[in-house]
Amino acid sequence: MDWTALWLSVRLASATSAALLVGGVPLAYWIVFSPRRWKYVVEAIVALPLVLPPTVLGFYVLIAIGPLSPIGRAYARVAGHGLPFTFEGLLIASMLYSLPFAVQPFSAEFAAVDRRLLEASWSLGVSRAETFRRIVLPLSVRGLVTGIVLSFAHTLGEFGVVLMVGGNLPGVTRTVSISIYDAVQSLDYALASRTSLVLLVVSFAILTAVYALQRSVWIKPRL
Amino acid sequence: MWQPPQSRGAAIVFQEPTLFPHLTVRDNIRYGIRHAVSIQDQIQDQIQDRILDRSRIAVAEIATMLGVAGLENRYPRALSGGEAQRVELARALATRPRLLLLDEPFAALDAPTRVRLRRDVRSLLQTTGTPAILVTHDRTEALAMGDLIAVVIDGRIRQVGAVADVFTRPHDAGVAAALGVEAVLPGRVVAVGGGLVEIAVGDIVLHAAERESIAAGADVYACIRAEDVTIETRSPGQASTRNHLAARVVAIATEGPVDRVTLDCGVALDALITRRSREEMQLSAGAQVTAAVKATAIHVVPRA
Repeated sequence: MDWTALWLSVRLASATSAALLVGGVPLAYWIVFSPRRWKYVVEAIVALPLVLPPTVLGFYVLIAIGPLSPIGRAYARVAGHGLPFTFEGLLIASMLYSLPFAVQPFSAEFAAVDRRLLEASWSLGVSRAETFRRIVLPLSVRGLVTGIVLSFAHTLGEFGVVLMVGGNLPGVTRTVSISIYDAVQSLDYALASRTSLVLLVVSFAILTAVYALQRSVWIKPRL
Repeated sequence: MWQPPQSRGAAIVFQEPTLFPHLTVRDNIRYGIRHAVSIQDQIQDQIQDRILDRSRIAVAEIATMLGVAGLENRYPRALSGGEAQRVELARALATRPRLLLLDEPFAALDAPTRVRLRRDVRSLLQTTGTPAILVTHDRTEALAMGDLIAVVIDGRIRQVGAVADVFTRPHDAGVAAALGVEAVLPGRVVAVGGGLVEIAVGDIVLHAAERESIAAGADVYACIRAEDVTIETRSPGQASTRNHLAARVVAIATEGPVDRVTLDCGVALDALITRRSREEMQLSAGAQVTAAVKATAIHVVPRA
């Protein structure tokens, strides 16, 4: 059992979920409440990781954060080292890779909030931002939790993107799925099966939790 | 001239309650007040405490006025339709709006609840001095709640005026059709008993059947349709008709197969009669007649 790889994956998935909560809520808010007509373009971009092969996404991320891009060069100047094959580089790639798994549940839940509640709040003199905090967010707890849990689980299982952007450095970028791939390559089936089983159980538990949430086992649905 | 809804100072109550489902009745009522408090956040705690205290008193007060005291800890899903609408009104009034917009607020309620709520809301609006615009399709509601009425047909205002004036003297056929033509006479209940309500209208007294309980001294509208007014030229013998009013014929106008006879019997009243009757009675302007109206034909609308 490759505990180092599992711990790395858990850290990466937690950081990705947290970052997506911070960045995904404003993005979902914009998608739902913006009057812009071209927002469907943004929606398509958000959904892109669902259909793009992870290698393609990983390739573009690698180029974008590499020493040939302005972003990569700027980061290298500040941090003293490049982004590819680092934890930070992996985090950026994972955020993009799991973006739809956070933003789509968020925005679906925001959009499901009865618009008349928002209008009622506004007419009571409460600003849009306050209304979002006091009405939309509390009524969207299920969607927020679903998005966080799904992006966590999705990051835990990512392979292609990690391989392209992170490579295979133990403790830095060798995540649990790459560890399994390595074990199979070196014909260590016992190790591969133990790690796979852990991943299977964890993934199943997470999805069970998500579906229980959808069925309102713990959180009461709104009326 | 566009203003964001937050700064209009106009609270809205819709037909369907829009209470916040994740907040208790108390927090719903306090919702708009708490905002006023949060603006004061920077001010020292002492003042803030006093404001919070005041908001707590305001919630209790307004809950009592609207008859939802005791429900403060409930969630909206545990309220009946009438209770929810009362809380909705409490939430709107708690912000002390400069204007209250009521968009068919009672339409989804059962009749007894509707009548009670109308009365409570009108008196509350009067005691708090809150101007309100009420949108309604229900003419009884317009009579019971309104001071001024604007008749809107196909999105255009067709007539504006005091409720009794507009009901009694519609500008045109469209308004008349929308309201139903009838005389709306403002009066006061002077006596109740034996299934009858005695209403003083100007110098005359009308007897109306008591359909809903009403107290002496109440301000009411007595509504009489022209179809229900009959004209007698001789004093009749014993008849079931309760109201006999000495009247003078002011004018006669032909309306298709019938004639509209405008009478002055202390108050203005119209009667619709057939041309044959008019000819048999040889009615003409200036004639002295008796206008008769059955007590059951007088529709009494309490001014909520």
